[in-house]
Amino acid sequence: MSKPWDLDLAVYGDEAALLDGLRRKDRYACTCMLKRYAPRLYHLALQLTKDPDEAEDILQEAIIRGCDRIDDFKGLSSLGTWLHRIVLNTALMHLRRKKPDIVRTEDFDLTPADLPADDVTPTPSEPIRELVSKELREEIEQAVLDLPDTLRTVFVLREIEGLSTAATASALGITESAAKVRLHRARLALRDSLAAYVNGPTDAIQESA
Amino acid sequence: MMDPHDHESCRSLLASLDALAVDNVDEVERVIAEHLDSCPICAAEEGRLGELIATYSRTMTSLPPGLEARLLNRLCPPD
Repeated sequence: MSKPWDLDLAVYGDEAALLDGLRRKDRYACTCMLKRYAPRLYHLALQLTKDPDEAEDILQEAIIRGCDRIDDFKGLSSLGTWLHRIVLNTALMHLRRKKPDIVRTEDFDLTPADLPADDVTPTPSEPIRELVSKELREEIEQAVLDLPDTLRTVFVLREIEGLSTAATASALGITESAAKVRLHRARLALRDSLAAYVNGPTDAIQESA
Repeated sequence: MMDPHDHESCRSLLASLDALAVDNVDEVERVIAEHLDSCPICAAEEGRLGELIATYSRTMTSLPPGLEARLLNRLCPPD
């Protein structure tokens, strides 16, 4: 008998079928959901907390909460965006508890409108793409993780997650001006740490892929 | 060949940003945009960094070994 992790994602290619499977707590549907969404959600939690164990806790807590509340999912956004919001809110709650100087507000319940409408999670109909080399990806990830907490959180929310400046500032309990200045500082630091790619000719990125 | 850029003017820009009123978002935006308009090297680097980050954000990632199985067992405990 095949194991759930050998599942072909195309089995649940249709979101309605996947939702139906998740409501029934079907093991294959859960596997499909994890394969499709968990990697990106894990990296989001890791980038915000910089702690692999905490990122795993956040992902576990958020995904269990999402599946428990799957009947509340009204389809106003994609399932990926909905799960994304739950992970972001859970990660901010963890950060607030652990680092109240970084997340200065308890009022950070991000709404679907705060997240970009387009879900960038690859779907089974898309070929699996390696857009940048593993080495470059790891270098970028490390450069982001090396940013100080105050800069990293703003950078991840604004640049990687695509939140607006207003939503980023509101989630962290800082002013929009502070968010903009921190973002600029973060970008300057990344330009230094990724100088080999940023200072070179424009096609350096493609060549390294 | 492009001259090496020491970000000196960028760093003084940051000092000026710190001096701005913290709730003056338009002014922060204006000062940063003005600097990028007047500094082609910074503008080019900003463009490349944006391209790099956008590509990175769309790239497939993977989970640490064993995490998918641990999550699955929490969601659907085996019989």
